[in-house]
Amino acid sequence: MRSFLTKRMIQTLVVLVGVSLITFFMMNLAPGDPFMMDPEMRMNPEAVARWKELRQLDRPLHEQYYSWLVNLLKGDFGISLIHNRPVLELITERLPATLLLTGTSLLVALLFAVPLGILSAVKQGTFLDKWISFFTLCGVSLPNFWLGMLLILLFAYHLNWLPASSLRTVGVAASFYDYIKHLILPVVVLSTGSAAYYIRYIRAGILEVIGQDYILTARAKGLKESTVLFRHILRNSMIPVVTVVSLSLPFLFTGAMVTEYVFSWPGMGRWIIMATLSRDYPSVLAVNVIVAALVVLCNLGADLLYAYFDPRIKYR
Amino acid sequence: MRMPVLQVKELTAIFDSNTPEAVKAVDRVSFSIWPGEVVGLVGESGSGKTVTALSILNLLSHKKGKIERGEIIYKGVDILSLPEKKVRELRGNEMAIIFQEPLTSLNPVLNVGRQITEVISTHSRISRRESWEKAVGLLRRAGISDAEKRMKAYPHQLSGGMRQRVVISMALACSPGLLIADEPTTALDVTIQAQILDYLRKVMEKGRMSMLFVSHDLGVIGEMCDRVMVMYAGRILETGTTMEIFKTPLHPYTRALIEVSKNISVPGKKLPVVTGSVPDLSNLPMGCKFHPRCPQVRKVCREAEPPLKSTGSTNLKGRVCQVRCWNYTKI
Amino acid sequence: MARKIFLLLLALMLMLSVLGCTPEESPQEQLRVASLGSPVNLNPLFIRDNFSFEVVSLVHASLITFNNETLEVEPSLVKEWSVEDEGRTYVLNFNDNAKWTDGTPLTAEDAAFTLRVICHPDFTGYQYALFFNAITGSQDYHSNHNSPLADGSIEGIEVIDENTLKISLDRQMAPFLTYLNFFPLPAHIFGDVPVAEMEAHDYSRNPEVTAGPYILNQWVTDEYLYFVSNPDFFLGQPEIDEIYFRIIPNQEAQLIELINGDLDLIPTAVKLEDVEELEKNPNIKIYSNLRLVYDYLGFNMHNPESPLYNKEVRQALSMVLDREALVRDILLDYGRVAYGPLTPLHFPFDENFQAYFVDKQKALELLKDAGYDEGFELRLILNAGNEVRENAALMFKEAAEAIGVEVTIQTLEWQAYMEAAMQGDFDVIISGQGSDPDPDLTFNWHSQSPLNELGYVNEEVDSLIEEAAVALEQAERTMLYREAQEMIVDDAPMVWLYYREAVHGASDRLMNFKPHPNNVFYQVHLWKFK
Ligand SMILES: Nc1ncnc2c1ncn2[C@@H]1O[C@H](COP(=O)(O)OP(=O)(O)OP(=O)(O)O)[C@@H](O)[C@H]1O
Ligand SMILES: [Mg+2]
Repeated sequence: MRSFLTKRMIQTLVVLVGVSLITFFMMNLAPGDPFMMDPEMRMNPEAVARWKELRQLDRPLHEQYYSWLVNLLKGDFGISLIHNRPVLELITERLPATLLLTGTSLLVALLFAVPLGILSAVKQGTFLDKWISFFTLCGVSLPNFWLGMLLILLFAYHLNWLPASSLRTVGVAASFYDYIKHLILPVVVLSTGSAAYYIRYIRAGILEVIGQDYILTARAKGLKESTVLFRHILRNSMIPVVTVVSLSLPFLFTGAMVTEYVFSWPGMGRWIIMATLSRDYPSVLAVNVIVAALVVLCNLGADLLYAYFDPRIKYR
Repeated sequence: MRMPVLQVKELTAIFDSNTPEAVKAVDRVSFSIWPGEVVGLVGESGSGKTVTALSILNLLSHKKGKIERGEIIYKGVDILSLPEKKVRELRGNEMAIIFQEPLTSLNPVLNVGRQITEVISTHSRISRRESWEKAVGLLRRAGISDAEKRMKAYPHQLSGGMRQRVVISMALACSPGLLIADEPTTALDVTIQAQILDYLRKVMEKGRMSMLFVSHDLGVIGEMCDRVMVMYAGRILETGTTMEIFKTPLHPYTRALIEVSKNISVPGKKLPVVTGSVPDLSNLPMGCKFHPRCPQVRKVCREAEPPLKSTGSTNLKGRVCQVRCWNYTKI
Repeated sequence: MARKIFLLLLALMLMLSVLGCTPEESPQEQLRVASLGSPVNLNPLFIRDNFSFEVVSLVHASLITFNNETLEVEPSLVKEWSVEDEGRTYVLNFNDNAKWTDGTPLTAEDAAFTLRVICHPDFTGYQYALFFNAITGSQDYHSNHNSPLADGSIEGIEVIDENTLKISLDRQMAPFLTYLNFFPLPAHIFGDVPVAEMEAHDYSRNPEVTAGPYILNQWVTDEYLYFVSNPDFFLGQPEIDEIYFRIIPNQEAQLIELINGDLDLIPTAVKLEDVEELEKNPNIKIYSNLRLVYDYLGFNMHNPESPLYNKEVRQALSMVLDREALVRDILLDYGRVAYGPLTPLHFPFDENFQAYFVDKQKALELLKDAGYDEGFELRLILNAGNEVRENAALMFKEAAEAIGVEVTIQTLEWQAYMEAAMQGDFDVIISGQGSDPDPDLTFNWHSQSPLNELGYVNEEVDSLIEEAAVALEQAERTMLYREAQEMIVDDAPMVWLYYREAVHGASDRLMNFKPHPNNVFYQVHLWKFK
């Protein structure tokens, strides 16, 4: 186990360095730089040069990369070229809003997906299963942008029940209800897609297990259907579910770019898009490295969970 | 007079009932099993043995099959007309089953102890402790050394033979009245097979249990059974005591089976097939289902299916021998 | 079980009904303005994006402003001025009741300090070095000042007293007064901050000492900026107490919130196709105005091998596109055709000046004269996501085909587009050109200007522009600029497309809102609610 962990840690480091290298050089090779934001804002070339010099952007790329890496090891993600503030600060400012949205959506998605997935597998081929399949097909294929706009039109415009943007009403005292009201639509959009996705995995996972001999054995023992389901089927179907959920965890951090845009949610996604479009190198680098780290960590977590759910899996 | 433990009457089981490819895997099969008796069910692969076995426990629906008609009468009660809850009380308790493949019939993520004790605790109100001890006892009797330790093992940590002992212990946990053993040794190697059969025989010696012993290996059947039923394409072609079947097989198919099993007298080998190919259930021939492979085929065999006829020789216990062949039936 | 489900449904319905019927009353004195993006920097000297530019005039006061209709210079912090010494000296008189929010008076010294920052060698902000190098001694300060602070002095900048600033120039410069619309920084806060560190100074995010009509009270990242009125604003405390500058990137959502009464003003960002619908709404008022920006279809004139190097070819290409149709069908008449570099808001603008109408015959003749009657191919680039430009590109492609010119359209992501534009990697480009409130043509048309991307060179135009830049009489400048315009248009370096109007949507309760070409919050202290 210990050597397994060390091995994984080394792998993680390699992945992180690789990701940062690729991002760093790709960003710098891509056309554009942070000064090309707006042609109406005419910059004096001399001032631009001085600006770059002050930020050491005039040094050779490998030197820039090296000092970025050294700073990173000290826990310093650098200063945003657009905001002129530490990247870490920019992230911590936006993360709560994003986690509120993505976390709630994940919970809601699982809340619906687990029972519906189980139901449609257990009732395979029935009317109910067909309805759930229809719903998941819609959920998977409806683009978030489209669904979001549709919901806004319906609930914010025509019915005027729910707000169309942001996470609270400005100018009134903050209240729990107010947050919930603002959360409903974006959470519906985000969780529809992922719930549909999870339902498919859960259903497929369960169906595979249901066909196994040991489930027949369990029934032949005279166990109640619920016992068969919860003790024998579910635990064996957990692995694919753990896989998809852990794969989606890193995206709790990056937020949902489209949905954040549609609902004007002040989160990470919008900021990441802006940072990328405006070539804010330190911000984009930080996001990529953090996401890579999260992906690796979540994979590790998933592997450890596999071993928990399935005694046949052992790590050395 | 004593009652049979199990009576199967006119059992017909079908698959894919909604499609044109619907197959009758079991077609009007009737038989009885008497207390203390070991009845063998023999036949080629695909002849409907497992379907028959599952039908008895009314578990066929979980294999996407359906009992179209018939009765399964266990100790005088038709289980097909019982509510599911009552049937569950019988399963694992009164009627237990052992499947062919011990690895896949054990849940890989639960330890052995858990899988045995759960049968016990489902059917009797005893404490955890007691059911644990009972399970240990079962394993020990099944020939597993350091049973205490093995209780905590997971199936993948055990050898094939040990797994099958666990499966048998599970089946015997509630001392059932009827044990259905569906090819319990096919997946095992010869020495292990002999040990397992030994153990089963020992269990039978107590005389309280009846057994339906499914196999395609006539050798094994001969060792284990009091009576044999030969199955072909979902039908019973011949029944009789083991002695009769081996000594004076009537049906050409039975004869062919015996012939083949003599030639290759190594028990445990896959059934060496009788010449001709296994019939396609969705496209069965007219007349006798065996006629395309029958050396003694006559015109009538192609036109009409012979009924299952009592041969007249009723054995000591009053159970009839039957054969389904025009050779022994007057037209 | 059934009971539980019933209770759950009941609870859910209750919750929905609570959510459904709570229309919030917006307090009377609260203005909620929408923005498509978030500002990043509130230090007026270091602004590089439109969103920061929009809000900065809420918290800062500028020396002068421009009239929203005539663009004439209006007093602000500088309440009066005089031009002496044949246009070489400017004496500025400051309003004596202007105060920073910490109580310190805002004086001529703050303006002088700000000018020193702009001329400092470490200054990295926008434009200013181009504007102020005419001030006597500024170039010397720019190249030889060797303290990191904006201390010392510039010869031509003289603080006569608290309220009087005298600026002397090396040479005459007609637009100089218009350059004074900058926002001074508080010298007592920045006096000991190195210029190189000013951009990243906390002030950029949290400008505590300001002098504008509003005071930044709270900045909730990417969500809103909350301003309260400045009781000590030198033009009087604003009528509206609070302003929420809400960041709503989704245009449809902005519109819905405006209709629902959750927003009071959408500046600039109302979509043309929504206008008709909005105008029917009695609670909403639509404003529109021209800005100082036009879109054009520019020809790359750097390469002597290219057909576009040839004036006749460019003229021919100027005669194919039906610009009236473009304005009518694509801009839905929210705009007008552009015929030359002088915009309708500029004083030299000539209402009667028009050039190049669709004339296929003439165009073909011109091509033939130039020896290009065989036809040729052109690569047109434009930025993705601008529907009007995309339509213009398609119309041009079709029109050019009619005279045998094959146009390939390439739509590029913003940064790639900008890079291609800078490197001249295109034959034809659709872009926009902005100008200052002064009609000065130097930046866009002088052959030596770094911003002259198309490679336009005409020495006569250069000298006309130079002459106009130092001429003091408006009538004389008008004449010179019109002459320059004729020449430029004759050279056909681009097809001027259109001036697009900015369309604003506001609650009908909002009064005194005056759309301004480059200042969303023009005279915001006078805005009020009905
Ligand atoms: N799940 C199923 N779906 C469809 N048809 C099935 C299914 N299970 C069994 N059958 C049909 O029923 C017939 C009998 O199958 P069964 O499993 O009873 O054979 P068997 O005699 O047990 O053979 P084996 O020796 O291979 O175990 C098969 O030939 C097949 O056509
Ligand atoms: Mg079988």
